Amino acid sequence: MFFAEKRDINSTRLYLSLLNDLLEQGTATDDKARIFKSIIYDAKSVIDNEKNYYKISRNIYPIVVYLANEHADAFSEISKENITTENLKTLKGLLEEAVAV
Amino acid sequence: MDAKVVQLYHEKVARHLKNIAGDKYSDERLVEHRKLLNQLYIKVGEQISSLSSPSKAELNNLKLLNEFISTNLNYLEDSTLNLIPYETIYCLEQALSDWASTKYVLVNTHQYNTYFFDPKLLGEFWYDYISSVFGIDFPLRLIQISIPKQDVPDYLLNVILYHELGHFVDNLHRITDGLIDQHYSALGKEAKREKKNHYAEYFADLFAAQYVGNTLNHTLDYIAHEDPSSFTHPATNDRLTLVKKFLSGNHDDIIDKLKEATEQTTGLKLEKRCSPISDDAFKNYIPTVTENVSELHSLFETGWNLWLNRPEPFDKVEADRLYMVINNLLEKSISNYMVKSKWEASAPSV
Repeated sequence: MFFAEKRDINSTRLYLSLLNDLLEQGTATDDKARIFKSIIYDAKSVIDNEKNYYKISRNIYPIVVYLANEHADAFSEISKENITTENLKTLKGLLEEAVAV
Repeated sequence: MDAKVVQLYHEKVARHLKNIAGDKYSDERLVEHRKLLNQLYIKVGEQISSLSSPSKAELNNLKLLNEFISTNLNYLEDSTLNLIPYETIYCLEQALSDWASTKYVLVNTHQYNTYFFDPKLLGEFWYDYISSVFGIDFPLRLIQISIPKQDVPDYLLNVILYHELGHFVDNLHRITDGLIDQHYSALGKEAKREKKNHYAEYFADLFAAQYVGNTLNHTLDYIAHEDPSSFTHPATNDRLTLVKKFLSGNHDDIIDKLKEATEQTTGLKLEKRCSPISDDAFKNYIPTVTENVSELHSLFETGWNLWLNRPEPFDKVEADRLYMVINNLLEKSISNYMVKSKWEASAPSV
């Protein structure tokens, strides 16, 4: 377990369920993709030193910090301005890894 | 995990909902919140029944939802008009309005004989998930604070609740999370967690000191007298010293970092937010009139000073009677302010 708190794991599991549903039914342009695009956007911004830790969206903070600290490489090819369904699939894999005990 | 066990816990939720069905709360909006919990309970029940062979992830989500409803109900149960520390909660709400919107509502539990803040219901992931899966939108977020039942009418000890409110504000804005990641990213995971725990306690202490001055130090020094540093808490003496430095305006690296993090994340300053008031009225055994919120918060410090210093005529009063007198005076003074504020808010402008 990488997260400090159990609630971080629980929150990731619930978001992961939503992401699974989204990827089964929709794409990155779907309205329901908003949260996940924010996660990718903020993680990429931190990795690229465009945002400091004080400016990360509060609601997704633990996930964003985890991604920025542990998986910066996975974000090298991602464009913040054009987050794709493939990027969401990458996020899904990283979140699955995060909650695996 | 067996689906039937998930169902068992779901039925426990049903009984709890029935037991508190007619309760009236200090904040009337909580009745609507309870109705939404009831709707969620029904939807979760439908999902449990409809899944023929649920996956591990599905069962886990249903378990989490049972826990979500149960936790809400546990706190609603003790937040009725006659159980909640009504006047102190009013003061905390005034402090809260500096830091959060009105969708955050203070609730309390007496089930644990101690003080703490529980961030369980704070995460937006609950509300994102419930809205997306069940189409139920909760407009309120509960701030879960635990207070020992016997401390509810004790206004001097109630200052501890300002510290717990500080933990909420920290959690809401991720103040110390940001501070740790910004300044201590090179530390290992455990060291980082310890540092985060210590900064969170320091923040809550300074947060409280903004409103109730040095009074929290008296309770802290009693409860955790000379406790050494641990994984979860800094040494008590370090905490006492830091509050004193903050109130006297002395520089300190920890204080400076907390001030920076607070301002960066909230746009607000960590600073004294109470104004001294006269204790003349109290010394004549009558409630004090406070003119504004910063004077309202000062009532606690004034009460503490009377208890500790015992100026005339209290120097001749027995401790048991003085204890009653000060608590009554604080209760009435806060209550008068509440009535006056409501009156002024609804009075027609001339």
